Amino acid sequence: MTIFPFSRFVVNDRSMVPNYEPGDHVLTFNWWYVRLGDVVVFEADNKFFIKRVNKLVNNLVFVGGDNLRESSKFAPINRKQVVGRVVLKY
Amino acid sequence: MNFLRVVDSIFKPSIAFAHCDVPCGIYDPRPAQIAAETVVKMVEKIEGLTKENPTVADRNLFVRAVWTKEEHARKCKEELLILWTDFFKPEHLEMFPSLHETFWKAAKLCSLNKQEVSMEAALELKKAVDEIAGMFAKAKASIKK
Repeated sequence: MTIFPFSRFVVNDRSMVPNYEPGDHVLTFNWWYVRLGDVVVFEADNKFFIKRVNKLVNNLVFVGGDNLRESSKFAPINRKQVVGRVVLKY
Repeated sequence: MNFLRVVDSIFKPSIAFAHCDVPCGIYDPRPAQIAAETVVKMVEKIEGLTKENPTVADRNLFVRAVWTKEEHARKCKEELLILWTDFFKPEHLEMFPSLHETFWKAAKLCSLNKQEVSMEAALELKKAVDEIAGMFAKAKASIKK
């Protein structure tokens, strides 16, 4: 779990369109458990990514993009990789 | 909200990539492996069902297991296609001369497992996908060097 309760990010790229456009700023709340349907920011390969939680199996979190036109395949991540869930777009 | 934007102008926020698989180059064979294992499990379930005088519950489970097998065989093929066309590059053919044939056979096995209920075919698919996962691991290791 991250030390800070909140984190700020800027969305890059289009796989979360139309809900999150490139350039949107988002605030995550990091001190809560992940739920199905949550939009989360997670860390992988030294980068941060924003996706929606599609499925939860034990410690595995399956994520995907909202933009159905663009392929947004991502391997399941570990819960520990989740930084926080998006609570605000600004 | 403006306050947060002011904060962002002073303390830059991190970038959260809403990426698509091609631009960021992040791939993983695990979804294909999970899909192949699901096909094996579904065949196991289907073969374990009562054949004589099935109940409504048996028929319901049969339909669901067949549907799940179909869906995961399709998913497996989709994941394999992404690895084949997006991750593996021409230079990998030197490392794995049978790369194309391996992927082609695995894709064919995905279709076969949709058409049939066969533990042999399901296990062959799992073996093929695990072989591809092995190739992926070696290819990735060679990139890091």
